Amino acid sequence: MGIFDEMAREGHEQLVFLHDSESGLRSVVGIHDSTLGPVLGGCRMHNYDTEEKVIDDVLRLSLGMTAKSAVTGCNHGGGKAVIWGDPDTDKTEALFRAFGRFVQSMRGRFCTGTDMGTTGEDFLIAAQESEWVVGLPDYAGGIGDTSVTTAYGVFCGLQAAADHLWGSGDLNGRTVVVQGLGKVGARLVEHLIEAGCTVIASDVDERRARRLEASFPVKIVGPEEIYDIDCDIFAPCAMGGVLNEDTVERLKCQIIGGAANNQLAHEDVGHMLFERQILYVPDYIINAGGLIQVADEVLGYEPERVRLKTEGLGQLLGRCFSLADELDVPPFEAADRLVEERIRKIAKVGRIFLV
Amino acid sequence: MQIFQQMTDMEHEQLVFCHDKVSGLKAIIAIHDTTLGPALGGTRMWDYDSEEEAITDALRLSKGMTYKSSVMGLNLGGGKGVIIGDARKDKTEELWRAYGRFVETLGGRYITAEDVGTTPEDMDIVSQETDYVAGLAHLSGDPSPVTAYGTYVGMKACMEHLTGSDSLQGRCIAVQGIGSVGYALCEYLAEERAEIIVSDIYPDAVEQAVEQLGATAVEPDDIYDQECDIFAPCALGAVINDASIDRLRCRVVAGAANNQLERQEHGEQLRERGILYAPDFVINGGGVINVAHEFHPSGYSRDLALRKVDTISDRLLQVFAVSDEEGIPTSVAANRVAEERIRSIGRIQRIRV
Repeated sequence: MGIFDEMAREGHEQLVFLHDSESGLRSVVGIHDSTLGPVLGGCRMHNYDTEEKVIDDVLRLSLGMTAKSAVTGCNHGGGKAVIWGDPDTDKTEALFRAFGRFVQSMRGRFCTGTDMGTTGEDFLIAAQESEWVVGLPDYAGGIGDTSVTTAYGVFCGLQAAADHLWGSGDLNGRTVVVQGLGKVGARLVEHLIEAGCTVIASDVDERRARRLEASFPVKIVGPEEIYDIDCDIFAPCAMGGVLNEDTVERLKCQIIGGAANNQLAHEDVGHMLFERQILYVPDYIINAGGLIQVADEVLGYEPERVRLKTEGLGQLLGRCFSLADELDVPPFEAADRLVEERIRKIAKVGRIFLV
Repeated sequence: MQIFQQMTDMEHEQLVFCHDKVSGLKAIIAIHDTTLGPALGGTRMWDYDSEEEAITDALRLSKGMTYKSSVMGLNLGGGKGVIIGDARKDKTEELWRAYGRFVETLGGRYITAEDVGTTPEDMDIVSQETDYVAGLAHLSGDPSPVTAYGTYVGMKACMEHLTGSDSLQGRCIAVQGIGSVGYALCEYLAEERAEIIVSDIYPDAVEQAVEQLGATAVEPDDIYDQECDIFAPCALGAVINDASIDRLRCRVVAGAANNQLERQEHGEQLRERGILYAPDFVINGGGVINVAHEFHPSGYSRDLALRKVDTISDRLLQVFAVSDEEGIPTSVAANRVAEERIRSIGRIQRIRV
């Protein structure tokens, strides 16, 4: 695999390999597109099998961040960092300090925070070396966890999808299947129950599922059965790539919308869903609540502004669905159009010379 | 190619792939070690056969710059840029400006300059987008005369080490390659009334050296066989190799070319043959010293730069002393001196001020 070929495919700007012999840091920062502003993207830590998988992940995830920022009106480009290592055994102070110094060396072109495998505490360490760290724990003056906002955004997005499909955003009486009961999934279940939905859920971690069952009236099923349940809405809130040729044939729902990133294994699956007349809510819009909150932290956190913008995801999805109908394309393609359109227009506006 | 494996083996800090779809820019910036300061190193444009080759070149050359700056006592780290492309036909304004913007994103951690395949004109365009370009024409200018002077100073140090006198008067010196550096070197040698033998693939330069400086001309391939005090490679790299090493009939190898030893073991072989080798990255450090003086607090001065170049002599004598004490080739001793400085300066930085 040629790195420049990979970069050229989606127009990535920069791929930065970082290494520190003392701490053993091995990290790659991907910067996809910085037209709209400094690049924002979390830092994932994972024990990848190969370097190719590290590069793949960072290219794919940074691309997704450009789309997410652009479509939600944030003035940020898309980027992502990965640290290649085992989050359970390889974390040290020196590692996150070294990472922080490299983030600082980019002088705000790249701003990062927690993602899979990293915690607010890790970034408290990185923040000792860099001012370009966001999403710090609330006890340290940050705004903490983004999962609450992400879950609220998903809930608003599902209401918008319901409104588009059924003429009403009221979810009362609807059956919703939630896959994955991590921080976001569990919080989404609360919203759904409050709205009067019947919730069926699963998690690969059975204890986590049972804990939720003890506090809320949900029905728990096994992780494999989850695709076969007759329901109105299927909400993927766990790993990416869960929508593939196999699962799409099994799903018995009218709407798919959830918090997971990169839900479509590939674009063909999006077309299959379109043909089967299942309304697939583009993932990078419906799960953008977290980004909205983090971007707000960069501006100076205003909780009310975050709430309004997150609710705005519903209206944004409404526009996306209408555009999709107008062009007779799946909504995920309409979303890509919105992304390209905004980047192109704002780049053009930026040409007006200012003194 | 496993990038992190290479970075681990060679102890690199950072490797930056820069791509711009509009201009087609494909650039790799390698930052080896910044213990001593920002990473300085030129940008090479070359039509590499593969991406791997470009990566390897960037990694190797940036590490070389770390050693060169360190041994010269400069407060600079080592870096290098490579642009994949044909220097004869792929250059455009947008290519250089895109590259300049990427250099600027590194915020001065990397400072670029011209190198193989790039020109002062190219760097002028780059400098429209970034402050971090060194060696522009209106600042330190053409480094060749300074490199030549440093090579001359280094030769004198070699003779001092061997004979106790640094005089080159009456010494015979065979100069391979009389381009801008080699010719300027010959001028210094002529002034000191050394006996000069020259070779070059361009007959015009040779003719001029014969007429103006009283040099003796030989065919390019015969230069290795000349009986002389000093053999001075000032053209290509890798000229000290399996084929040439047994032909040399000199006491000293000291010249301005980069990467004179084809392989590390050729340094050992020179030592076994009793030939004193002035490590290339020490004796040809005049160029980097010159450029580094652009960052001098009082601004660039050619005079100050030349005074600093005089220290090449001390540096070589230090390297020769380490080589004698440890019984190691001078090429290895020079690496030790460079590494030791990085280690000790790295340590004193711990003192909080």
